Amino acid sequence: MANAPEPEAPLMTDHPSRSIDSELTCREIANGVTDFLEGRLSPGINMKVRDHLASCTGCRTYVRQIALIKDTIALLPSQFPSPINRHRLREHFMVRYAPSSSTNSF
Amino acid sequence: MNLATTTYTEPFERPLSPVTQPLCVGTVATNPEEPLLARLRRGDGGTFDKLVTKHHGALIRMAMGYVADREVAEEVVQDTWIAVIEGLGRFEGRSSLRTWIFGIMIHKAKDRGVREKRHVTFSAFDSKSDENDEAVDPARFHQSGEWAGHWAIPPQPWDEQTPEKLLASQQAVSAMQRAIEALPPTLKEVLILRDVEGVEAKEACHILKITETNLYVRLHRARERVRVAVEKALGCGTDRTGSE
Repeated sequence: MANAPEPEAPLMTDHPSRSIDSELTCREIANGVTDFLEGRLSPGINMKVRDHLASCTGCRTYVRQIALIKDTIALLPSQFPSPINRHRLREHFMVRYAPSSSTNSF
Repeated sequence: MNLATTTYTEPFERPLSPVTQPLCVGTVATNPEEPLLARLRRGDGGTFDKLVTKHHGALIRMAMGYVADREVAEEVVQDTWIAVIEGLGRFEGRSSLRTWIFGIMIHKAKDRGVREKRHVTFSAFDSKSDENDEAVDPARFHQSGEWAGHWAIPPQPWDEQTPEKLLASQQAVSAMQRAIEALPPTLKEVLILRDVEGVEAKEACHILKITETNLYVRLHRARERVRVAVEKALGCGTDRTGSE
């Protein structure tokens, strides 16, 4: 069929002449994504960003990636003190606040 | 280690309660952390262990932004915990315990960094993290014509679209960790407090003594640098990106 629809929604075009006029560029959106994700934008600007995202694949991808980075950083393995330092800290703490039980160890 | 040189003072985050003796019985309602503080002051080692476990990793990572290497950072954080132990009895709860602990660490780390003449490096870093700079490389956008301001090099979707999948990619995790370690202190401290520690914006601003606008500008710059590192690690980057 000659005029078969695209498998993707046809509105998802990135050409500015066919996108929803949000009065914002991708550059402005990309540099303000953290403000958007953190809910810092005014309702009016927030709506414009959403309008832009509705018709811009690149910006949607960028927003998803920044959100993913944010969520993944929180889950990165943390670093703990070496056992000897931890033991010394515990000893110091016990001597200072519980002298009678300072001989206890882990 | 000289505890007497610790000059960091407890910041005022919470309004002062009419009762100015937080150790007195009856002030529990004015400070939600008072039960925790009471356990620590009673010498509850388990509570102290949990406190160390909760914050130590973030303290080490932040300290590494100010001093030369991991070994010195560990010394700074170890000194911080000693100062916390020594100061618990005097801590009045005017800020959160976390704000107080991180404030001590930053004070000690900056002091150690200055002694190591790291302040020269700070200046270089600070100039790179000028808040007027854009977080995203301008070269990724069209500069003129009908496409001006729109993506010239748009980000490519990643297969790893959940934190769990991204964490399963050793390349991505290594890239993230290296990118975080390489951040200048002004960006690293914000990223660690907000995204690693989950500190609320107001408290993070209080700890770092910056405005909320600066906090979010820096936070986005930091996240973008980590994103670019992952983009490269996953093979989705381009030669034109992340060329700092």
